Amino acid sequence: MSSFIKSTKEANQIVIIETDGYLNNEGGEAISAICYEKIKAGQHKFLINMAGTKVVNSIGVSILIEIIEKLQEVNGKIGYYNLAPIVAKTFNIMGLTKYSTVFATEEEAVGAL
Amino acid sequence: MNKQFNINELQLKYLELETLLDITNELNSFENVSVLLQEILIKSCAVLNASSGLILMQNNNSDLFQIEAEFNIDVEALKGIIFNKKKGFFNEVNQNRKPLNIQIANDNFLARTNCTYGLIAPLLDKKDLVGVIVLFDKESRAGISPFDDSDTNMLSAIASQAGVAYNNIKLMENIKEAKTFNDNIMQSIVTGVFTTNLMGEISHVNRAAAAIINLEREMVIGNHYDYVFESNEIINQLISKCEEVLATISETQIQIDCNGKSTSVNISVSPLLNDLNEPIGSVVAMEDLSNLDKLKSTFKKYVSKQIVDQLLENEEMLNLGGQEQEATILFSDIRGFTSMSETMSPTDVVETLNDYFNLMIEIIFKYNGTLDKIIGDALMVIYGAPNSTDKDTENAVLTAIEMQEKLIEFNQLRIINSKLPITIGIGINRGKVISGNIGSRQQMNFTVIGDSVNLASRLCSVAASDEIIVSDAVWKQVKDNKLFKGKKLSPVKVKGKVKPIQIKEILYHRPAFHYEQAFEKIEAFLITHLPTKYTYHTIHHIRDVVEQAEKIAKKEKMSKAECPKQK
Repeated sequence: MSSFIKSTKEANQIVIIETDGYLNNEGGEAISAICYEKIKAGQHKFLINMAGTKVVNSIGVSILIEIIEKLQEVNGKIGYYNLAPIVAKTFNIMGLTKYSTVFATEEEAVGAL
Repeated sequence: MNKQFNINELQLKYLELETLLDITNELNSFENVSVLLQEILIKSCAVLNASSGLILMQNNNSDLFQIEAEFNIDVEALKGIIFNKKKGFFNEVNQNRKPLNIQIANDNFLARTNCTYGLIAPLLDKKDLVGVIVLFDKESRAGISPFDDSDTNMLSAIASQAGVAYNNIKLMENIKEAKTFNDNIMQSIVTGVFTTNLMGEISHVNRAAAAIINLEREMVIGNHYDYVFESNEIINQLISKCEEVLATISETQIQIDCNGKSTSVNISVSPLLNDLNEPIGSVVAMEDLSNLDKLKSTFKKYVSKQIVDQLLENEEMLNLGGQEQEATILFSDIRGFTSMSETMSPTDVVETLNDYFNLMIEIIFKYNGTLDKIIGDALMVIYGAPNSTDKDTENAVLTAIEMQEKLIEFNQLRIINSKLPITIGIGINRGKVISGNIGSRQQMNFTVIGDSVNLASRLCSVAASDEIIVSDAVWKQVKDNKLFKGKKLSPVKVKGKVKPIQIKEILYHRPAFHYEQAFEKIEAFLITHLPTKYTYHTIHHIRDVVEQAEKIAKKEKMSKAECPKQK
């Protein structure tokens, strides 16, 4: 597992991925690798705990968009929580929030997804 | 891929603008250079899709850069690299003051970052290069690529903003440092310092000032000086006067009431001026004299006030060395004190000497003598050294007379208290002496040495109980003063002198002895202590017997030689 992925767990058939560090090309690919593997295994709901990610670039965002596109093919969903303000702002500018949801807490995310 | 999900150029430009705006908005909110640089680096990397980055800042003392911020890079791998602003890529940036797009060759020192491309932007302090932002490897979904012109312009804009912010923070840090430096100086100096503003409110108080006025700083700051010094009108007057005349006003040795504690201070009030030389308040400096007073008071137990003041005013007096000058030397000695002390307890000996010395030294200082030394029960006193006056010898003789006169009163009290009286002989000489501080740097004594000193000591030995013996040199200086009466004595031979020395006895008024009081005490003592086998006749009876015996002797026409000698 990449050092960017701090942990993965499952709750209510949702895969929860905790990240740590720069969400760039490398970070994004680490997330997508897990997501694609889980999608293949039949899981369609993903939550990303971004408490440890304070920086994101447009490449990282574009990889998240690729994951969203993949999930749309299987009626899946992805959401994020514990976002730093600058990360939330970037997600918003890049249009990510139109096709996925940002939650405040894990409880809220698990309940809603 | 669904087109609606593509990140378009507009969104990226929007992100760049937002990032630049964020940086601009946040720049002035940072108070710490390290935090500012780290934030700028992270935002630069994010907005330009750089995989990692560094900010290098110039070391204050050299042309070398050091890493001040790093992002997503293995700094351990960079340890030992010398980032010289006058070499390689950095030199190019330094020369052109423009961003530089680079490809990192395998043999370049930056190859240790494992990166292929770099973008270096200058951080400028006015026109000086003070640091660089270095971004590595522009990311894309296809892999890494060089930075383009758009990236260069963006980083240039960020670096320009960062340079301004960096300079502002540095300026603030310098101001804070200067303020802390000034505050530390103010707090560490022993002179009390207050400042007042144009409104007359106290704006600054250092620790020493708070201690002098015996008030907490918090109770003083912000209050008008009229209120703070309401019980010290003199201070308020000085500040008002300074505000009026815009010149320094001083007062020395004034007594002020400091929250119930009286303190002696020197005060100086000066106008506080701004850059344009306009008054913006006053500075009050207070020098606490209480320690100096304590020092003086302690010092004065050993030397006269005159010497203390001279030493405090002129430290050079403390230099070792000597000078030849005229001085008058007085020696006094208690007669028979050794044998007398054998009959006394050690406590009584010390008590007797202390009482005696207290009385004598007070007289010595009254006449500006310097107590040179106490040798057992003897005193050596100097007049005219280090500074002489035309009254030195007169003062020495006046001292001697008053010593003898006061000793009579002293003895009356001792007799009344059933203690043995003491008598002294005094010798005074005047002549050339070598005066100076003699000893070591650790311990030195101001003293005089020479033949004249020795002769004064010899004259003291010649003097009988209650006598004041002076040399011819002394008599010549005081004979015209009607206060003094001299009685010529036979020349004496003294040790160390070939020819006999001409001497005079100074006569003085000896107050009548209060016999009645003494008799009462003696009688009481005898009644209590006389063994029962002896019969005690009263003093009156003894006197009657003696008077009758005298009458009988006169009637029988006895010669004086036949009469028993009376002491």
